[in-house]
Amino acid sequence: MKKVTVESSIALSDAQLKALTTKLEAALSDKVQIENRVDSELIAGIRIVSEGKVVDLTAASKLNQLKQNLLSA
Amino acid sequence: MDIQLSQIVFQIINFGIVVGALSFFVYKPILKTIDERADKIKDGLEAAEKNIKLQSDAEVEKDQIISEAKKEATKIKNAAKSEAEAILSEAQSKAQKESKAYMAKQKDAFAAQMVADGKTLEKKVATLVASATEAVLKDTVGSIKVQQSVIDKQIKDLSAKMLT
Repeated sequence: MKKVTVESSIALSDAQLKALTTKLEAALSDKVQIENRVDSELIAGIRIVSEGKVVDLTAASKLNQLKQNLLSA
Repeated sequence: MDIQLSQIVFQIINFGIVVGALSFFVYKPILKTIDERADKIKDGLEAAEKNIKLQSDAEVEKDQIISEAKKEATKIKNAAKSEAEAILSEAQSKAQKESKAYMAKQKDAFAAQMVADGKTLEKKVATLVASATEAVLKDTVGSIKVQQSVIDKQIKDLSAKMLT
């Protein structure tokens, strides 16, 4: 079983946790235990951290990326 | 009237004595005085001529000295003028060079400042845009319903490729 941390701006609902578990187990080919952490600074979206790999889909991340692009332009 | 020879001889002797005495006591001193006066006049004239010649020579020498002094003064004046013109020209050239260098330096400094200001402005605009976007984003996705909708979509679109 793999432990996966999912950070989100609001707490995930049971349906969302279930759907996410299904997706992650299919992708990782293993049982998955999700730990949901709430962080309002993320603005919106989720960030998945699994075995050192990060999939960041949060609005805060996109916003930060936009800021970096603007500053480096 | 009888002419007496002795009387004539006496008169002749008497006249001779008078002539001799006059010649000795009057004529000779007068001649001597006249000769001395003539010598003095002659010496005076010679001295005057000598003085005139000396004065003339002095005038010539004076004119020559003045002429040489004028030539020397003109030469010095021309040299000073040339030197002053050279100094002025050099100073002008130096001032022009310094002015050009200063202008170039100021131009470079201005250009650098413009670039720095531009970068600062770009950063400020970028920060402003990011802040505005963040504010709009928070306002747009502020409701729980919208956030849940966003999360639902992300879970739905989540692919195995993103996780491996």
